[in-house]
Amino acid sequence: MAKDLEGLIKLAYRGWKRRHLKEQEAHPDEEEIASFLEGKLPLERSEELRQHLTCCEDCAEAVGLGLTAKNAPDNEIPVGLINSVKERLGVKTPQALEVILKLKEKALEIIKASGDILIGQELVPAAVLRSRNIGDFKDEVVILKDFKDIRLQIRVENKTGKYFNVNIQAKDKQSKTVVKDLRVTLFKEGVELESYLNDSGSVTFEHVLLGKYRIEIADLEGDLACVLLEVKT
Amino acid sequence: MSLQDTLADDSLPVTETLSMDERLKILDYCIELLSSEDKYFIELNFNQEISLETLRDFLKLSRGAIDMKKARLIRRLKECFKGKGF
Repeated sequence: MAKDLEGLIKLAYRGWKRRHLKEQEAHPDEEEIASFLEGKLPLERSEELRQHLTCCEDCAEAVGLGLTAKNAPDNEIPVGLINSVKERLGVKTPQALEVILKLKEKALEIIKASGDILIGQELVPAAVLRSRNIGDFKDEVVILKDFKDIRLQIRVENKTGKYFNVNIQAKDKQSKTVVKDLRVTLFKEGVELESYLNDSGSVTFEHVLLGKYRIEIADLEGDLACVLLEVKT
Repeated sequence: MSLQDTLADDSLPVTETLSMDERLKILDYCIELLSSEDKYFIELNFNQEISLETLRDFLKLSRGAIDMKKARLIRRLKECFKGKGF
């Protein structure tokens, strides 16, 4: 009986929603939905998004899927099986941290970042920065992203607006200790420019010119993380 | 539709269907009257079929509070429904 009633409410709600769809309304992007799911959006924006979900099928579905995935059991999959599937699919790199920055003479602006930005002692998603109207950073910006086994930190330092330094550090997600003996390689247009072992705990590429780069972080067993970095003026 | 099709048709009789349409119309009206918070709950729990267990964590509520929230929402809809003569 209760199930019948719930089914009826669901059916009626879907009808109600169809009549209230607002297809022209601006949709939140993936970063904002992720921040919403993690409870990191400011209260006011959260409330706006809640209301938007009741009149937008796509966004409601994205939140629904996000919630379901977030709570799915974390079953261990054998590393060998993952590697074999990756090989078959031709996948060579793990998910990437995407960062787009704009260099100004005495500042840095974040255009896009798929990780969290360090502000003082707080880690803030890019979407939240936008809602707080924070875009410019004085000399450097620090961005973090969790990969399967490591937490990657990338520090980009502005050098007079014409070139930049980029420092890469990886920490173990569980123990928070710096992971050493990783190979960190800087690529541009598929060509390897520099490659170092992080035996001191971090690697810095200095005096890098503006452009699009790919940084791969790997251990002996394969790639651990990847950064897609674009720095422009 | 042949006689065989008619006999095999297990959909609801017309009178039942009409009654269902009426019920849906009333419920639609009652949903309109709900607060945005209640509509949001229906969206997640009924439409997206997110379990109460998951919603409890997401909305940072205790199990008792989330059960209560759902029960009150259903009660509000039932009262509105009855108020319309059903």
